[in-house]
Amino acid sequence: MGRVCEGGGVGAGARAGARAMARIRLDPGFWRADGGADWPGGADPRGADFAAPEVVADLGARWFAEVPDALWFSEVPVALWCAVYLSLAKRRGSECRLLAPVNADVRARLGALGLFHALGDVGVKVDGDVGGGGADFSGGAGDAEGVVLPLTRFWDEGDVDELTNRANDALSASNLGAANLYPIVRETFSEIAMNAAQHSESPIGAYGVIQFQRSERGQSFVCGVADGGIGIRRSLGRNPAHPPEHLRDDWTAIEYAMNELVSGTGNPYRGIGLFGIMEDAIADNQSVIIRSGLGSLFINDENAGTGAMRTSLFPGTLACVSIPT
Amino acid sequence: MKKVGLYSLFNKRVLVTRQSARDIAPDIDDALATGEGAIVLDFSNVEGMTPSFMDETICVVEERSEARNAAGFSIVMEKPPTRLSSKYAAIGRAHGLEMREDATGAWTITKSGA
Repeated sequence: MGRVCEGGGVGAGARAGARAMARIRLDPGFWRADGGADWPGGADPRGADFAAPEVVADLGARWFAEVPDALWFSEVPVALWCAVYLSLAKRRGSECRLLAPVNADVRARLGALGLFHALGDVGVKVDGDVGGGGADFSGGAGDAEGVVLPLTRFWDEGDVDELTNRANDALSASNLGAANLYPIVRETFSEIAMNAAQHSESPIGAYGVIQFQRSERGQSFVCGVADGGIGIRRSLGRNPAHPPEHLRDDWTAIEYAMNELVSGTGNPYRGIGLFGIMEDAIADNQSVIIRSGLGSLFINDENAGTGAMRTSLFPGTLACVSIPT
Repeated sequence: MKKVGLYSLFNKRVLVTRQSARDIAPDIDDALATGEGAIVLDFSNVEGMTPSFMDETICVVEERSEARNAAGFSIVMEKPPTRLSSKYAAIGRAHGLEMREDATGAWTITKSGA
């Protein structure tokens, strides 16, 4: 086993050399521009120079142990991050391991989301070293109330069709939240999933999840999708008609993609997906996280947020939408 | 006007993919011929659709109308599973169509020129 890069994150580990073990500590606020002190800074498991023989994603940070309520809107992106990053690293030949949260409640919620099953399916080990005690991490996906669609890998539009209809059946049977929001949940999930299926070129496919959350902030449906693909900037760059200044950086590309009829396809009718997500978000007080490469955009349920900005790497594109009920 | 029942064609509650819209092109073509450029899409029992499905459906109607040398067309969407929100209006704008939602919730999509 190689050197553990305490606090340095996978970026520091990977830059230190191919023999290093990359240990990533996730902060539940990692999706914020100011979150995630131990966030990996540079190691991109999509890149040709990625060569970490062992990758450990550590969810044992104190935030996960002490402040479960601070996980508002974080479980889904955390689960998606782990699934995508570790799937990509595994595909590159790394031995991958997830250190599950020591907090039993958080652990159970991530298990119910389907994270541990999804990781097991791609050969990632899950253990409880951080908490000890030999806890059982085989817990069933979807067992917990509130999981409408457990974390599920998909590849193409046909899969999105099947997943959306499966989620629809689950929603109808669930009696969760306000039923008049179900069409919005279905549309939101299917649109962000279709974007991943159509445009990501992800070698690991994409992961999707729908969860009904209750927290001190209220109740909401959270739809999340993430892929390990080329990202928004490169996807839009396939269309030479786009002004280059909009595609200069990942964060400028995210902001540009929110506009009507901006698409990498060159088809004049395309480019409604992200525009529609943002229109609905503003109209219905939703919260949205978009991460793609080194760019991020976050708006909250008060129609404020960060705007598009540079942040730490996400190796692909992640979209999460919280729909209040 | 001939009515095309989408649930009976797909047996699905949510209409998601562009390919789904392509799959019903013959039904749309037949309905356009019968209705002389006017068609009713009945969404009864359909609980959701995506903008992608709607956009591709409009593309199919446009293509079939052009193939018939029709100057315009009219689509009535009965019992649509969602409101005519800004993203659906954006699809209409991109195609140069007029879209409106009536008191029953039905949408009428029109390409003038007939």
